[in-house]
Amino acid sequence: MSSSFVVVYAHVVGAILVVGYCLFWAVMTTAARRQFASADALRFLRAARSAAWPLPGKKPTLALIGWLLLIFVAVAGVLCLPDGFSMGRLISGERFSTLLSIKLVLSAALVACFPWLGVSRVPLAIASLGLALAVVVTSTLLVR
Amino acid sequence: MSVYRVSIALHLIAVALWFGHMLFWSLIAGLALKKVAPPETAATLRRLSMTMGGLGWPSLAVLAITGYLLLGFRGITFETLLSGRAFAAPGGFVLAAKLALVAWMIFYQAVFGHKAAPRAIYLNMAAALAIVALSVLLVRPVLLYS
Repeated sequence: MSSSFVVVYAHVVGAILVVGYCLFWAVMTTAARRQFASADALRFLRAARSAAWPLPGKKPTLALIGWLLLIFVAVAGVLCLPDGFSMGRLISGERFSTLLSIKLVLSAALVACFPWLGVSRVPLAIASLGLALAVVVTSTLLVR
Repeated sequence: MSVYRVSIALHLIAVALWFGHMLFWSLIAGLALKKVAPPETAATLRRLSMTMGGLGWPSLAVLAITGYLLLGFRGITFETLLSGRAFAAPGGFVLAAKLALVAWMIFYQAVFGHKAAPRAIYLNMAAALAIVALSVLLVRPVLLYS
């Protein structure tokens, strides 16, 4: 099995997990804001954000896991750029397409939403999920 | 946007939501929320996280319809699937393995659904991850050899 396959596969699985992470906060935020008063909802959401994944040793919180997943997907995404698609040529605009520009804008918007997941109101949590799905769709259309 | 692109978009949205939900809840959120203290807060958080379920069947429906349409763009129909001609083409074994795993996931959804299935759930997640790998190979067979 080639390393290219492993990198593409890691990118795709990572992206699926990022969608799962955004879906998780959309569900939690909607449910908490509907069922509790604002202060209680925020208390529960903060408890969820700081819930630690039971790894031996240092235990990352859910919020940190979200960032780690996002970084993992971005790094794998850069690694699976096709031959001749260097970052230099990308930044210079030589290999820019409308779809790629849309993907980058959507990705930037998703990154901007990330710090507010779990402490925001419902619309932002749902918008983050929409952005994550839109990035997945534009990425797939880019390679077709 | 063409039918082809809309089918791809819907297929990807369904798979990302369903597999994302399954993998993130089972492998990350479920384990983390269990350990929250005090236990009453953990129970409330788990209850909140379970307020939306039932993604399996709607996702499967979207995946089946869009998957069939996408196979059609490759010249694969029910007839070529049933006759086995679809599997004789290059990459046919990848398609056969993917469809077998999809059949397993439909079986799992029908038999276990939302019931507790501590061992089968891991088999189901393994099947989901294998389907993603096989799908990547179907779209980019060159990755196997590059």
